[in-house]
Amino acid sequence: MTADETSLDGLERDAARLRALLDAIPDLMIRFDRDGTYTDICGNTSGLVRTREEMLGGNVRDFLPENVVDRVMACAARALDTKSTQTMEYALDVGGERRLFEARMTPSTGDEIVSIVRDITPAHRLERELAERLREVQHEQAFTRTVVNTAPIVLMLCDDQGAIIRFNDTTERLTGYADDERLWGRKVSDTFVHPEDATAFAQAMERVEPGRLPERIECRWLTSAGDELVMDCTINHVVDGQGLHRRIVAGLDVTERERSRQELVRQRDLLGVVARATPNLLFVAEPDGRIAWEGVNPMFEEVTGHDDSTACGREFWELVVAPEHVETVRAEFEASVAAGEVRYFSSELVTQHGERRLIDWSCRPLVGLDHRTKQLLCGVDVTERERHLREIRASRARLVEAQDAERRRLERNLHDGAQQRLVSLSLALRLAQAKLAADPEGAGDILSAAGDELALALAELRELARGIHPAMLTDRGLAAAVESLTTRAPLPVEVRAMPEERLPAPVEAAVFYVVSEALANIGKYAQASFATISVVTDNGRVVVEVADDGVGGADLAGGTGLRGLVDRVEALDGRLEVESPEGTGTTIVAAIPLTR
Amino acid sequence: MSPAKGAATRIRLDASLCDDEYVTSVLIVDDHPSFRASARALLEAEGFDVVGEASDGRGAVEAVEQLDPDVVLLDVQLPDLTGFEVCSRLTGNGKRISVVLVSSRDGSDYGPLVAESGASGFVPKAELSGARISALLR
Repeated sequence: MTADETSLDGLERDAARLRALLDAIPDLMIRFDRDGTYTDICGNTSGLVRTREEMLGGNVRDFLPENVVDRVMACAARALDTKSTQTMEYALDVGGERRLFEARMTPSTGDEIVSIVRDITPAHRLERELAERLREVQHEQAFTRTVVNTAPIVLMLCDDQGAIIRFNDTTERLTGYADDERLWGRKVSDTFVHPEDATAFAQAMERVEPGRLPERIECRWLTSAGDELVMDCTINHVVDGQGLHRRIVAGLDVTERERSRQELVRQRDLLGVVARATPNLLFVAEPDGRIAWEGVNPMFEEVTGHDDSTACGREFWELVVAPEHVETVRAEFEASVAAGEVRYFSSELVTQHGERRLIDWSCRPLVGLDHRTKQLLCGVDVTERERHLREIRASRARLVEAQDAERRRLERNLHDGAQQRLVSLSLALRLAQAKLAADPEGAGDILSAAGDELALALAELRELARGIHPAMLTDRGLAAAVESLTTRAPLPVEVRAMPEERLPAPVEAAVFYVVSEALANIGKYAQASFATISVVTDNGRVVVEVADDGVGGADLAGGTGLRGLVDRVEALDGRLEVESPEGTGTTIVAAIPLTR
Repeated sequence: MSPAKGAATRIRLDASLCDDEYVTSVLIVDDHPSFRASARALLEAEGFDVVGEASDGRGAVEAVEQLDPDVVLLDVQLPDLTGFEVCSRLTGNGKRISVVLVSSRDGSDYGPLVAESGASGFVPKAELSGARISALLR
C-alpha cells in the first residue's frame, strides 16, 4: 500500500469514526450553506419539524417560521463573517409542543455552517422552576422576618447553653438593647432577667430538651434603663438550618396585666378591710335569700352571733330580721332581685343579746366573683339616730308647750291682775261721777281709792313686762340683768365672773334664764344660805355655773323648770348638767357654743 | 263660798203689780273681791238691792237657792265651773231667774256661747251699770 493509499485509508477511517461520533451525540447536527440549503442532517433528529429525508436538499426558509428563519440566517452570516462560533436560542412548535432550542453555529469549509442544535426545553423549565422556588423562599423569609419583628412578642434564638444568637425587633424595643455582637454569646438569664429570677430562668433553660414540652416561666426582666418588666416566657427546643440544637425564647410582656391584677388584689384587700372595719352589717345573699359563700362581716357576727360557718346557706331574714318584719323585708328583697335595682327599707333586728335595734337596709344587685348576680345587703344601725331624733322632736314639742304655757300664764296674770284692777277702776270712776253732785265727799274718797288701784295696776304691769323679756338684758347686757336678779334674790348671791363683752342675743337670753331659774329654784327648794354665779367665755363657748350650799337632791327629771332650761340650752347646741348630791348643795352648769 | 250672811229673806212682789216701788235684788258672782266690791257700790248707788255675793260656781248655785235673787250677775271665768255651766244650771227646768253674764273680755270672745247659755245678756265688766242690766231685763 502506498503512502497516499495509506493516508487515504487513514482519512476514510477518521471520517467513519467522526460519522459514528456524530451519530452518537445526543444533539442534532445540521449543515447548511450560506443561502440556507440543508446539506446534511444527523444525530438526534427528534427535534426536527419534518423528517430528515424531507428536509435534506431543502431550504431553511421552507421549514422554519419567518421570524426564526431571519434570526437563523443572521446568526449563520455572523458566524461565516467572523469565522467564529455563534450561539442563538429559538422556540419552535414541534409535535404540538412549544420547545426551546439552542443552536451553536460554526463556520465549516467554504460557506458551509455546522449547527449543533440542542433541545433545552427541560433545562429551561427546571431553571424557571428553581427561580420560582427561590422567589417563594425569599418571600417566605421576608414574611417570617416581618412576623418575627412585628409580633408584639419577644423572640430570641439561643444556643443549647442559653447564649444569645439573635433576637427580634420587639425585644429591642421592649428592652432597649440592640441585637448586635455586644450581646451575642451572652446568657439570656444574665442579660435580660432580673437577678432574683435569673437562676430559675437558667434552670428552665436547662430543662428544655428535644421531645419534651416547652418550659413556661413567668419572671421579671430588666430593661437597659433599669425598668422592671413582667414576662411570661416559653422556652422551646428547635433545630436550625445547619442541624444545630437551639433554644427559642418567646416572651409576652404582661407587666400591665400583672399591674392591673395587683391593683385588683389591692382593691379587693382594701374592700375587705373596709368590710371588716365598717360599723355596718354587710353580707352577700343569693337571689333566693340564702347568705352566699362570700359570707358576713365582723359587725354581722357581733350583732347576730353568727359567723360565716353558721350564717352561710341560711336565709338572711332568719338571722337579721325581727319575725314581724320578715314578710316586708322578703318582698323588698325579691323586688330588688326581680328589677335588678337598689332597694332601701328598714326593719327591726333582735341581737344575740336580745336587744331590738332599728336597721336601715340597702339591697343592691352585685355581679359576684363567680360572675353570677347576687345581692349585697348593707344594714346601718339607726337606733341611736332615731332615739336622738325622737328626743329632738320631744324637746321641740316641750319648747312649744312651754311657750304656750308661758303665754297662758301671761294671759292669766294680765286677766287676774292689771285687767281686774282697770275694770274696778272704770267702775269706780263711773260711781264717782254719779256721786259727784249729791255726795262730793264720797266721790272724792272713791277717786282717792281709784288712784291707789291705778298705782297697783301699773306696778303689776311692770312686773309682768319684765317677765316677758328682761328689758335690762336687751338694753344693758348680761351683767346688769344678772345683777338685777341677784338684788331681788331672797339670799346673798356672789357674782364671781361675768364676761365684759356682749354675747349673741339668744345666748345671753339662755344664760339669763339659766341664772334666773336656778335662783328661783334655790329660793323655793334649796334652803341655802348662799349662792354663787360664774359666767365665763372659753374656747368658743360660754359656761355658766350657779351653785348653792343648800340641801341638794335636785333632779333634771323632777320639774318642768329644769327640763325647760335643758331644752332651751340644747336648742343652741349646748349642754346643761345638774350636780346635786343630797345634803351638799346644787351646782348647775350649762355650756353653750357662741357660734352655730 | 256660802251665801253672804245677814241677807234677809224677802218676799218678792210681782214686778208688774207695783212697778215703781219694786227693788230688783242681785247676786254678784265673781272670784275677784275688788270687782265684787266695785260692782256692789255701783249697783247699790243705782238703786239695786245687792242681796249676796259668791266667789265660785258652786257657791253661786247654793246662794241662788237660799237668796232667790231676781238677777245673778255672773262672771264667765270662775275657778271651778265656767259661767256658762253655772248659768245653764240656774236657768234650767224653766226657773224664773235672770242671769247677766259679765267678763273682763269682750262678748265676741265667747262666740255663740252667750246666746246658748240661757242668760239674758252679756255686759263687759268695764261697762257695767244699773241701766245696762235694766235694759237686758226688759
